[in-house]
Order: sequence, then C-alpha cells, then structure tokens
Amino acid sequence: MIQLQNITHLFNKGQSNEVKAINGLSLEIPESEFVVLIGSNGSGKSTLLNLIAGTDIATQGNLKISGIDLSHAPNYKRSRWVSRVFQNPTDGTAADLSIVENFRLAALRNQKISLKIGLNQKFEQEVQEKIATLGLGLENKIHQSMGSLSGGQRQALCLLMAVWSDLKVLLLDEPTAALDPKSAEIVMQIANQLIRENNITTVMVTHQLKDAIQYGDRIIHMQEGKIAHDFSKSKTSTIEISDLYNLFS
Amino acid sequence: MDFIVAAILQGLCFSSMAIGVYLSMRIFNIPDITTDGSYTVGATVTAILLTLNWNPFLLFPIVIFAGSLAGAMTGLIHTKLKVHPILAGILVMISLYSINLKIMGRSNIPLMNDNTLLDISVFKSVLLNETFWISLVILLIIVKFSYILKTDFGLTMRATGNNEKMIQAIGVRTDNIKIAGLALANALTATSGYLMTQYQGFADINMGVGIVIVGLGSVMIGEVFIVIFKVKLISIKLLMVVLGTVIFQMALALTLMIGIDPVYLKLFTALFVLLIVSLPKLGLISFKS
Repeated sequence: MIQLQNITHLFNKGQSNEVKAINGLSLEIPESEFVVLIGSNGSGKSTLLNLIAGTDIATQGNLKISGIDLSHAPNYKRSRWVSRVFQNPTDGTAADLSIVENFRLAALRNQKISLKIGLNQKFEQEVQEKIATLGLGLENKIHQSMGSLSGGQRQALCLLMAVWSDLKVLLLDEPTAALDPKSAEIVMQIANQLIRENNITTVMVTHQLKDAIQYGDRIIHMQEGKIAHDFSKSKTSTIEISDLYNLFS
Repeated sequence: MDFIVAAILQGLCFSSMAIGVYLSMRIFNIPDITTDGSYTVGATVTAILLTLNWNPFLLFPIVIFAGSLAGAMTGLIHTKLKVHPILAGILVMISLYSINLKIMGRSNIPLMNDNTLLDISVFKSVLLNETFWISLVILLIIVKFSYILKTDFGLTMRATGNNEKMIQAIGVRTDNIKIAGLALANALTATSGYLMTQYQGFADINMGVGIVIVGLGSVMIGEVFIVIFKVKLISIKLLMVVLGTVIFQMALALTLMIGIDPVYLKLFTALFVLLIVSLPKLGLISFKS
C-alpha cells in the first residue's frame, strides 16, 4: 500500500525559474492495485513516479509504503520495497553483461553485496526456468550479452528482473514508449501477467490510453501537479478511449 | 638475448599495473591517472622498508594498503566532491610526488642488501629465481582478481561501469563501489612498484612518470588478443593483458636494440600507444567485440 499525504515538489526552489511540479497531492493506493497515471507532458506524472522511487525527494509532504515512512529516504534505501522499470530498456539493463549476470544483479536488490559467487548453477537454472515462462525463447541464450537482444526482449526481461525478489511496489515509467507496436503489446501482456500472478501494487505512467483502459484497475488523470480525475475500478470498465482523450484538451 | 629476457621480466613487473588500468579504464570507465603516483608509492614503501631490513613478504600488505589509500583518495574526491576523475587523479598524483619525496628523503634509494623477494633462493640461477617470484605474484593476482570479478561484488563493479543508473536502482551506492574499485586498481599498481623496485634494485622519485600510458598501451595490445581469440573467460582476459604488457616492453626493448637513443624512450612509448589507439581508426582492427 502506498500513502501520499499532501505532497508538494518544487524544482529550482527559491529561484526565479521555480516550478511547482507537484502541488499538494494526496493519494492512497491499496495493496495489489494497478494504477495508471495519464496526463499531458509536464503534468507531473513522471515527477510523482520519481518521488515514489526516491530519485527525487518531495519538498513537502509524507510518503509511506506499507506503513513505513519513507518521506526522506533516498532511492537506494527504498529499493528493498520499490522496483522500477525504465522507459528505455537500455536504462534498466547492463548491455555488456550477459543475461544471467543481469538477473544476478536484479536478485541482489534485496541483499547485501558480498564477496561470494552468487551466480552458480542453481541460480542459472532458476533464471532459465523463469525466462521460459515468458515464452520468448530466450531461456537457452542466458550467456548471451544483454546488448545483443532487441528492445522488446530487453524490456520483457527488465520486467522479470524487477519482480525477481520480493517487492511492495512496481513502478513502470512508460515501459513501452521505446518499442514497436507488436513488442509493446507483448511487453504489456507480460507485465500484466507478472503483476496479477504476484499481486503487485503497481503505478504505471503511460501515454497509451488503450493500455490504461485495458490493464489499469484505476486511472488517474493529472494536471498541473494535481489529480484532476480519478477513475476507480468500477468506472474503468465502462470508460472509452475518447473519454480519456477529451481530458487532454 | 639478455635484452629480451629483461624486457619480459620488466613486462611481468608492469602487468599488475596494467591489470589495475584495465579495471579502472575498461571495467569502470574511469580514466585514472593516480596510477603514476601510486606506482611510485609502491616503490617508495618497498625501498624504505627493505632498507630498514623488513621481510619482503611482510611489507607486501603495506604496499597494497598504501596503493589502495591513494586510489581511495581519488575515488573520494571524484564521487563526494564531484570532481572530474581525470582532475581528481592528477591532484592525487601530484600530491603523492611530494609525499613520496618526503618519505624517501632523497630522489633515489638504491637497495644495497640482498634481502629482496627476488633474492630468496628457490633455484640456483638468479634469472630463474627472479622469473619464479615475479610470475608467482602475477599468477596470484590473476587468480585472486578473476575470482573477485566473478563474485556478487565484482558483478556490481562491472555493472557500475556499464550502467550506473541500473545499479543505483537496485539499491547500490555506486559511489562506494567506485571508491573501492579505484582503491583496488591502485593497489594493483602499487604492486607493480613493489616488484619493479626489487627487480631493478632501486626506487626513484621519477619512475612513475608516464607509467599510466604504459598501462593503457599494454591493455590495448591485450585487447587485440582478446578480440582475435574471442576470449570470454575473465581469467584468460587478464592473462591477455599480461601478454600485452610483455609485448609492449619487448617492442620498446627492440627500439633500443636497433640503436635508438634511450633519451627517446618516453617519446617512443607515447608514439607506440598512439599507434595502437589509432589502429581502429586506420581500419586495421576493431576493438568492439
């Protein structure tokens, strides 16, 4: 569960070009809900995601994840609870390292890093089995370098890596924006499958209104750093793309 | 012939430093110039403690510690004060010049007594002895270091140089990894100073000048072999870097052998590295595997 209380975030605080990216926003996201944030560029949705991830620390307000106050915790202290998939698959993976090495790094998210060899045969087998469930035929290529894969394949693996070890919140930052339509569809299906199977509380930023309706439990429309519309579970099933589209005018 | 043998041994002495350069420049993507200073640090500590009749085994950990301290300083300046790594390295290197000179008390310390590592008699022949001890240290470094790179910590180091953002997202403070990595790289460099001082029988305040270029050139020659032989195993990659270092020294020995004034040695070193660096541009070889 995520609780945001009265969050305000300023960029360039106290300078002439001060920007209020988030303006007194409060939001409560219950356990295992899939929330989609939509809104025009500069509406504050990416900032909100950064604030939850801890990449930015809110100027004001409180943030709790599963009841733990993380208002002032930087990103590396939140990574135990929060996992993130970036817009660009190259941001979420180390290209020169092999697939299985990337997964080992993902597995370290909840662990202390030591001088032990964690990348053993047992781990390799586990990676192979999990990758096989994606149905992309990558399970026999785990020693290939990450950089040799296509964007779609890398993003699918990013998703699997993000949920590899225990997490409370999954953040998806326009996960399909850098992909072709076919890959985008596959990646969204995989994301949905992983989220539902593991009951993960998810916040996704997207410009794909179709995806918002198809996969989201709840759609939040942001405007000028505030929540302009909040469509709950019962409403998302009846909503049309055109309804959402009209919000942008 | 003696010329070539000396070049090989000298190359082996340098190879620890080349592995250090491989770590900082290739794995971390940080051009670390501390190398020039930390090499002399290794030499200074070795020479001073040997003249105080220390056991060469006992002083080795101190050399490692002193080298890593130099690297950690550069790491701290770079990560905490956000100074460009090249500048951070130059600052530490230039400070070390004074520190080394102060510790040495003069610009050159000859080793008069026969109590160096290379004098410990295993074989009858002096040459075999030297080869044995130098190779043993290098072998130890390759084994130990390739193990480290395979551990979770090593994996994190490699990924930090590759995609820092990702590593931060999994909760690693990359600053600390960089400081540790630079400490490790410069400990390796100081080890070269340790070996070279004992091999040539003296430490000199200027022996580190331009040494980072030797390291870089050696690494690049090694990478040519890594590409040609399609090396995947990290331990073999390190072995190729050692091979690159030896070949570099042999090439320099050859230039001296054909009668070129030793005054031009540094100039030829630079030209040689320039040649290797420009090989891909000249379309002769590609470093990207």
